[in-house]
Amino acid sequence: MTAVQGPGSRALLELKDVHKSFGHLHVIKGVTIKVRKGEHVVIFGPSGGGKSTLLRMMNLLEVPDSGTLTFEDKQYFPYTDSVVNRARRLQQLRSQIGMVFQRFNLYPHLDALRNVTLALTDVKKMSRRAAREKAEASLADVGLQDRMDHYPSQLSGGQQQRVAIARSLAMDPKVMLFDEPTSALDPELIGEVLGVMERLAREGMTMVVVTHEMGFARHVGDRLLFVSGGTIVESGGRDVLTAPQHERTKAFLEAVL
Amino acid sequence: MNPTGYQFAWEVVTEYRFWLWEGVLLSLRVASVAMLFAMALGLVIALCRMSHIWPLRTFASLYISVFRAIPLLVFILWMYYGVTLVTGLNIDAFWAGVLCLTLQYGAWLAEIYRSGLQAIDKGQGEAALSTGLSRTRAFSKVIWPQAWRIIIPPLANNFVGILKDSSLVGIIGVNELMRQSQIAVSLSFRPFELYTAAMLIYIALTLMIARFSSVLEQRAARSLSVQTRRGPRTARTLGTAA
Repeated sequence: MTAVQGPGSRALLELKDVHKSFGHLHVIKGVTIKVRKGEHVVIFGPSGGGKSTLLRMMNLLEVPDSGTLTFEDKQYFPYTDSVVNRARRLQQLRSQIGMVFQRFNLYPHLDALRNVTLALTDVKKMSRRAAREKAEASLADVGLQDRMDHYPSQLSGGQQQRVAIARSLAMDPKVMLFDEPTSALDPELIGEVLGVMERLAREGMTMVVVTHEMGFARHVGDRLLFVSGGTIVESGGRDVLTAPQHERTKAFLEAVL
Repeated sequence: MNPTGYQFAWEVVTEYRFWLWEGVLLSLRVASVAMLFAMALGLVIALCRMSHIWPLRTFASLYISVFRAIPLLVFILWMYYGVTLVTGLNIDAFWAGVLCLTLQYGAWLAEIYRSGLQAIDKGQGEAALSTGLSRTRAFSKVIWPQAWRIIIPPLANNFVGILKDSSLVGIIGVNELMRQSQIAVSLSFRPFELYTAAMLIYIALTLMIARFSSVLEQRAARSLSVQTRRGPRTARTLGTAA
């Protein structure tokens, strides 16, 4: 990848030449991704192509076998610290990166409010009261001000995913990672989640989104990456969707559109 | 019903009631102390078993397969008569019994913890880690409260098991309920009445433990999902969302 000069071209987060194997399966084969501040990167492609693995490497939920991860010019992988400091550095990295999962992963034993406050009191060391206020604002932000005392089992899928987004947003992340955030939702509930994501994008949040929602990709994506077979097959602006260059991209898009 | 024309003398039970009561107290003490230690040990073994450090994993599997396989009676005799002889340590019979129960039940409980912890979706820990929680905090705040609810019933079963197995430590001279009944029998020559009483007491204690367990379970369930308490509201919530 050639380095582009000038302001705004510096990467906020960068994966460089990362590889990953699960057993004999080589799932990520030397991928480099640069995410700039304010940018909206959409990753799409067939299942099993390595999209989620790539995304999960960005906060080291998945640890690469080789390559580097840099966030705000600090290298987080390969690890350079002692084991004790490594744990702290990992926490520091992750507390600045929000992540939204396909299956929400809300804590079922806590109500919506406490789902959000947990990391605020535990990681940010906020007082209970400050955490509560922050969480209330965050939940109101995703339109759930009247669902704060509900437990996940009492919420619809769309509401649960919005709580999950609020949980991440409350931490004031510098980048948000979305791992197929609408794939587990009933069709009629997808809109409310995409709506929140689109607004976040408009407000300038840096986002990396793995999704099958091509409408969203076209709308919001500044840069689209077609990932298949563990590599970035094709990347570019929205023209990746309208005028794909690569055969595999064409075939995939024909199949899904 | 009574082909031998046996003359029942149930009054021996009341005659020996204080004697039996002392046995009950000691049985409960042996069982409770052993249970507490076994719960702590079992958790440690379970965490080793699930560790990503392989020597810990191997140690834990080995521990579990060995200690589950030893008959408790043999173990108690070996510990109290054998080990003390070889090491020269003078272990109190009570603590020798508690130690054997703890070591064996630790192995059983480890497997219970493991199944409970593994039943929790991997995404729960990942969500907690992704917000910056440490592994320890993700465990204590997110995973453990959910796993705890699952493992309460099997834990209670094992407490019942430990209570019944505590009757085995009578053999090394701990005056728990079984041994107290035995002595009472040897004094009164009334095995039917006294052993019947002992059995009934074990049954009563087991029922009490079961009751205690279901109260705990209900409390944990309430904190996990309030659906029953807020039934109508749930319906409305889902109704407006769809």
